[in-house]
Amino acid sequence: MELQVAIVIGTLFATGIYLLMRRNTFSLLLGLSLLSHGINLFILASGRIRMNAVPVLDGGKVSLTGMKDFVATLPQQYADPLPQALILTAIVISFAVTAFAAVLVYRTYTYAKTESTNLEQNEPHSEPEGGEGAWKP
Amino acid sequence: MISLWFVIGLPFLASLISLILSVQVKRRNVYAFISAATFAASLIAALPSLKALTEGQIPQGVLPWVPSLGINLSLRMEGLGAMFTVLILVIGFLIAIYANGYLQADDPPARFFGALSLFGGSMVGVVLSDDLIALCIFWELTTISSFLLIGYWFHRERARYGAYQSLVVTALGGLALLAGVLMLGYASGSFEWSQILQVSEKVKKHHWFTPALLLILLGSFTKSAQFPFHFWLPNAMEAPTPVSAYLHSATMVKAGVFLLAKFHPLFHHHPLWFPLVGGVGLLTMLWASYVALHQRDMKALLAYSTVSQLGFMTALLGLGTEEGAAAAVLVLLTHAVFKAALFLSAGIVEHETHTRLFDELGGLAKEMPVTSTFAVIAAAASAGLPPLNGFLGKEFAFEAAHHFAEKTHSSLLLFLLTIASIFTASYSYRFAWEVFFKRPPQPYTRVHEPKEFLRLPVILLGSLCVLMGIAASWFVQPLFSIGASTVSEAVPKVKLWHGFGVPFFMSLVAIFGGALVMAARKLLTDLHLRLPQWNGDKSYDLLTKGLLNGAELLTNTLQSGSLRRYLWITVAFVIVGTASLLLQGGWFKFPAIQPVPPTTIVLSAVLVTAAILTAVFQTKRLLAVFSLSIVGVMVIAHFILLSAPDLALTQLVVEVATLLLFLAVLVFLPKEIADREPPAAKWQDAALALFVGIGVTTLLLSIFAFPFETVSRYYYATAKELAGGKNVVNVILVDYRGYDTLGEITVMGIAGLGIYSLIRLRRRLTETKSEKDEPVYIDLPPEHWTLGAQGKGSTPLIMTVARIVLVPGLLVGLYLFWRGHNAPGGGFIAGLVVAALIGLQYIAFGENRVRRAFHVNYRVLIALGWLSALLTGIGAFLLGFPFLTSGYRYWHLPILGEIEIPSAMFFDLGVLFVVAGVVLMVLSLLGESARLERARETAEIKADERAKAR
Repeated sequence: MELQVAIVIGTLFATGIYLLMRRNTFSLLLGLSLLSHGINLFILASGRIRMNAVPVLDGGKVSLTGMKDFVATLPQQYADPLPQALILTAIVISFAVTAFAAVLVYRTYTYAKTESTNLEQNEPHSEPEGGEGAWKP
Repeated sequence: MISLWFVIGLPFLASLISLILSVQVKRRNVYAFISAATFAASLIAALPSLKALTEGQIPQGVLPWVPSLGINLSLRMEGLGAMFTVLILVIGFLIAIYANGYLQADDPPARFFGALSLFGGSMVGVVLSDDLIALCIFWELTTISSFLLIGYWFHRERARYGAYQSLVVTALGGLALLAGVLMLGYASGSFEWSQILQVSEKVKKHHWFTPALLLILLGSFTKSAQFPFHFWLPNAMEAPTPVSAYLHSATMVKAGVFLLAKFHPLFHHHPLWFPLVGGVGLLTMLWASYVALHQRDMKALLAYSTVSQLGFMTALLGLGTEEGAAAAVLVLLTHAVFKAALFLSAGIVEHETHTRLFDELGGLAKEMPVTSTFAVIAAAASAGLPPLNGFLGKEFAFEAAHHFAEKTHSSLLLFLLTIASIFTASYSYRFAWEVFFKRPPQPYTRVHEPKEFLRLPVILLGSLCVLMGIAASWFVQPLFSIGASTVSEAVPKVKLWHGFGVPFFMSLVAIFGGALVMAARKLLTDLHLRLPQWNGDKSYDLLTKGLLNGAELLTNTLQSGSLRRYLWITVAFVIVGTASLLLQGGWFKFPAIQPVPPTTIVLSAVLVTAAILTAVFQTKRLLAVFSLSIVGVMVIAHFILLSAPDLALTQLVVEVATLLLFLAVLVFLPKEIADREPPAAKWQDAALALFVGIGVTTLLLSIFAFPFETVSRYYYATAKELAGGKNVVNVILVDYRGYDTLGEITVMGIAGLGIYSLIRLRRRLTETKSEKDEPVYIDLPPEHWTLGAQGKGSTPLIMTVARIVLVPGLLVGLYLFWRGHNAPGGGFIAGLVVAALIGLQYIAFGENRVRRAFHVNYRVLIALGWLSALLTGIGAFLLGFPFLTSGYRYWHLPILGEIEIPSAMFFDLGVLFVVAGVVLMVLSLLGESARLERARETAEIKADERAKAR
């Protein structure tokens, strides 16, 4: 499991970064999504991989008297909840960021009529054909 | 002692009041009165402290400021500080009166007097702070208020230049001072000066003792305009003259001297003290007094003379003897009085004749006899003529220098002091002669004695020059005794007549030598102008220009405007950083692998393939979005595999919302674009991306191989007892890490409002240009907006499904929310479920109709949610628990049995509102945009048709 998870995460990072570097803004959105997936999985995996160990307490197992034994067996019984809590936060935030970026892409296109992420003067812009391929209702 | 806070607080209060009044009141008298009255009141408030001081107590007051760092706003009125306080407040009072007469009708008074009071308060803060950090803060405040005052006439280019230059130089010194103070604090364990002094032996042995000394000297020298930082002071003369008199002769520039005197007991045995402080002081004194003689502008002469006198005081402190330090304090006191008088009379001259150049002045003794009398007295005091206060200070200083020379068996010091004094006398004569006595180049018209406001301070200060000389035991001794007590154990008596000793001889040489030099002045000036000139301004300009050019070059190189380049730099940096850490950690270990069923390998393979396809299809956008969705679904599967049901649920709804969002954006963008990027760039990026991917994989495997320890046991052990929840992830979110979650929904809300402003704020300007370039404003037609079927409402299937799903779906959302505390679910998920359901209604029925049926202002929803979360936290606060502490109760209900209501639920409800609000707002805004876009196009088409028809 470890190896395949590592490869999955590596792929998400690689494709995400590749897409971020593309010149049109929509690819940037795609890259942002892939990279977020990669980072979320990375954080989760860095809490170690535990299968069939959902971090929800079974009512009977917790008592103050049996605390010592309980704590000693924890790593086998439950996955680490901390990364999960962090990622839950991260998922929502990255969604907010993606939403903002998406609207930014839309506004840049309708306002400046460009989809390029490159402001350098000396490089040719990869601008869309002035609405040629654009969708018309 | 409570009155100390009034002493320091009143001027600040005056500044604040001036600022507030400036909106309505324009009369200058009001502001001058506020300023002068608060200086006077502040002085009265200081009287009890002064009395206590003479009785042997030391008035203090402490206000905790950053107690965790040991920083307090502690005031302590020592002798030197007390003397300075009196000086600052008395002269401040006179200056405020003078400025009322000096400023013209079109000079905004609030800005002037507000900054003046601010300066006075900061200066009092500098001299009364016992805490060195507080001292640094007040120090910076004097720099800033001085900047505001020098640049008061900011329409003048020279004023802006002078203000900016003084800010750069003195703020630089302020930073050095702060660094030195931090070192001292570290070496001694305290920032309180009185406590540092008690452990001075420990501090002296610390290896930061010398660096601290050097940095503090840098701070002092820049403030007191010592060589080579003196160049800012003459440029600061662009300030209105009362400012020059107050800041740049009597008080602020003396803050550097004050600092030297304050630190004198700690540092004066240091081997670098005499060569640095004494050397720099002497050099400054000599050089500036020589340069002053050749100035054409009377304020420039006075500026250089101030630099020279500051050098004199620095040199006396540099002797390192208690007598020398006491002499510096006396010179400071006398100089403040006569130099303020000189500046103020120069101000009157400028005010009446509208010039500051010696060539255009002369003979004013006839036109304004009273002012001239007192100005000439002040000039004579500056020259060191008996029986005036300048002579008193000089005699005392020469005596101290004489004792030092006897001790070191070298009379070089005496020689240099005499030379400098000759120049001092000569420029003072010159000032008096050229302004008041020599024949004027042309007869004056309309030049006469000034208003009383202007004249009174000069008369007072000029008289004081005489009184301080002839009745020293009354007018000097009390204040001097207080001031010198800080630097000298036994305070010497001041007396005018020291007998026919070496000091008197030196004074005599200076007085007559000065007259000779004055006579030969033209010759000397010609000679001076032929010598190569060293100009501090040029070095300063070169340095600042170089810095700015360098910054511009660096910025242009880094900020080229290409996102790709930024990413390359960022990624390369991360790679280097991570790689070095990996190498330190013993490179790479392969972890133990847990066996898995082959089906999971298929899931991973699908994810990898879909991710790569997303990259490949990036120009064919619909396909790319489709691949991305597959990636999302597979990520959800992986969350399930890795025992994270909460994440899987959340991701599921986020995927739905993201898909909606991307499709909504694609309504506007071309579905497919031509790939015009050069292949080389793509290959380069692919190589970098591959490198990153392999790096991440390797890093992760190494992490897996590491032994693992987590803090989460605590959460497991206490989730039920402390927070009343079984779903540990949710408990962490809403309880243990509630702060993070609050921050996060804040980000979410901000992103939502950002989106709103991006789309909405240009909405009202929606317009289109017709052929004649006239904007055509259009009404928003009540059309439907849909994603699926374009324009005419969607298919009946979707409409039916949307109807059927809505209510059960909302119930599911409620259920997920309710059980969140004990099972997978919670505010996020419920919020997204609600959003997805209503989003579906948008698709089915169009944005317009949903908005009419479902009348909710999403911005209000977001705000309410955020407030609900915040208030839950504050509630705990009010009950005496830390912010966001959760409480819970079990309730018995008739049918449902025992139910539990944790306070965290209201927090979670807030999360729900924010999340749902943001998602729905984005969807509805994009829907509106689509409708508008179409309306605009329709309008354009119609306009075209009309044009064709014509």
